[in-house]
Amino acid sequence: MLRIRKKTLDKATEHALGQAAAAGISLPFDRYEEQVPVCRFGQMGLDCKVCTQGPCRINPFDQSNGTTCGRDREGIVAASFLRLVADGAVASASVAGSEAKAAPAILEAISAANEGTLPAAGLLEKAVDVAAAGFEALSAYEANGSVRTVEAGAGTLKADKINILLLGAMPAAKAKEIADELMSRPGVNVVAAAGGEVAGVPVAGSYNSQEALLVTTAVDGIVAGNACVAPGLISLAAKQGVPVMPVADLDISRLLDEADTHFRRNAGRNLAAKFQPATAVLGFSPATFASLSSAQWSSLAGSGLKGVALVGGCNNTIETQDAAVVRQTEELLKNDILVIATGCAAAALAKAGYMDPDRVDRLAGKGVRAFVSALSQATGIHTPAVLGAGSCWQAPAALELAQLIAGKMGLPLAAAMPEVSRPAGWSVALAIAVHGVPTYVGPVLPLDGGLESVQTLNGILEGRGGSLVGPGQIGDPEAFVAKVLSRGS
Amino acid sequence: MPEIMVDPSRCMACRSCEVACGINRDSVTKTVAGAFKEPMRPTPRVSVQGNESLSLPVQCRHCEEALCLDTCPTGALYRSADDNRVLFDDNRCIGCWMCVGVCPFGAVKPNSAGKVAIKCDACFGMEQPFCVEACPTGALALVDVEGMRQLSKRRSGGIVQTLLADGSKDSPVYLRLGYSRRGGQ
Repeated sequence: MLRIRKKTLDKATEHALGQAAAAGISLPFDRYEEQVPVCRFGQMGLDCKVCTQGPCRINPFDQSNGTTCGRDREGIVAASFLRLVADGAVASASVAGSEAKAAPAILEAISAANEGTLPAAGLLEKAVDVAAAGFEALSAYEANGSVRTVEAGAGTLKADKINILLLGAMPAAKAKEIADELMSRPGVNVVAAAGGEVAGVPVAGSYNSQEALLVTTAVDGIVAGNACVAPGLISLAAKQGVPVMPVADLDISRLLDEADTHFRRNAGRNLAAKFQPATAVLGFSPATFASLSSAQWSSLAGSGLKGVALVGGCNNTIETQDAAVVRQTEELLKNDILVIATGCAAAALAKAGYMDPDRVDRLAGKGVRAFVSALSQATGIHTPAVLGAGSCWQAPAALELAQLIAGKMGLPLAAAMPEVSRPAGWSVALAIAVHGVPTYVGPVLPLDGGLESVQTLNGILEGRGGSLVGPGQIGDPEAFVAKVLSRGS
Repeated sequence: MPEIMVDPSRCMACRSCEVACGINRDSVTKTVAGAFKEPMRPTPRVSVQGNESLSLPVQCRHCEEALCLDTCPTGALYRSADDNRVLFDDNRCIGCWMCVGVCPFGAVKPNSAGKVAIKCDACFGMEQPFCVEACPTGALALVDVEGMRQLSKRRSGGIVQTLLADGSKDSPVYLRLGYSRRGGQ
């Protein structure tokens, strides 16, 4: 059905949509729209295709039916959710290189999902366990923790340089080494997206923008990590003659040779000069706060801040790209709640100027403004309204930072992932809830197909102080803010 | 004669009706595995349309006042004398697309070769149309005129009761009737 909807807040991606349509290239937004209306059995977690006696679907309008094997509605929803979270834990463990550590919990989760002995509540308990194990494994992922000033958005691509994109999750030390090596060559500009920012280079875009960046023809070569590289990007790069090389067997000279060919072929045609980069100060971590004295902490505490929120997650084509994240952050800052950002949500906020220290006065309420200026004084860092804490894979450090600030200042802490989509994002979201943080996820919660699944999961999380709710439970950014604030009283 | 009735509040957008129609009515092999490899891609006569909050299958409504019948210059579209359905004879179709142009439901479309039109005949002569049989939630059902009277009576009664029971006047009617942004009720 024809329904015009804004696809993205990212100016460059929006521009690329027009370019792509003219060139006959489809972007994630187009491919999603092509499929609307999407099947709600899958969206609500009401389907199962694990064995070949099905696939089975639970008719939500009929209370009596079950799958061929006899799993009921709550069970099927719980098992689907468990598999989603277990998939995410696998991604987390493999990115952090600590597969062995997470393997027992993951094996246990998958076998629980495949066998019939556990009721829905038991399956959701396994989901909680495997998310926690994935998060634990992820904390082995080491990143360089220094605060830096970088550019953000497609404007980081330079029209007169060979632009190399570091895309997806990669070991931090290796990423840094590759970036340094590339930048030592004349005329080479290195940018990152969807995880590559761990190298300390500017962030050009987020998950659903990776193909759009290619459409600008300003990306001349890609170094691909092992997660969050979209299959669509690989085929588009092949069509456009952009070399893609995995981190593992990267041949820098060959990459630059091929990138140079692409650069010269597209000379004068690339759109990089059209976009203005935003300024972003990011890379905050617990280490940034390590040297603060108790007097400095108490000056921070006097700022009138009312809460701390961790904003993270991916992009989701169901929503306008970046819009829910920006709307949520705007509402939080206005209400004197400090925002710490990770993942593609952090990239969204960097692009939108929320990490520009010079824009604090325009973006934040009184409490956040006072906190930011006190923090600038204490650390000597020109601090922006939103504290960027790196990619998704640095979520454990981001959570630690949020817990540190909230704990030291006695403030309520909550998390929001309003555009979460990838399994790893779901695994991280649940793990944050397991760590005692009330967490909001959107734009869909795949537990909504069950009549009691959300309550059952929250019953399990209650013992740990956390919760996981979606749009069915909390509909709008204001309600989330109210929830954060109510925790403090 | 019973008609195919559509209940959008039960449609899950799973497209089972499209698959069943395409395979059973427009493929040579009549099997899933075979149909997708045929040189002439099977075209379903029913199509699921909608957005994130509401979806419904659309097929020929066999209108009493059918514009397609009025505009067809060759008589390829004709009214069945037995059951009043709007039927289609592809041997007489010249591909002028007048029917495609006038159908308000978009229920008539070119076939996959693009030579002649294709449309739903409500699985003429069969006990139950394939789309109705394939629907897992009952969003599609065969209902005769008496059934339709009952349905509309139930619906109108339900609406009035909902409005009377809910005293608040500040929310829009459709919200009070339980239509949510996603999923539907």
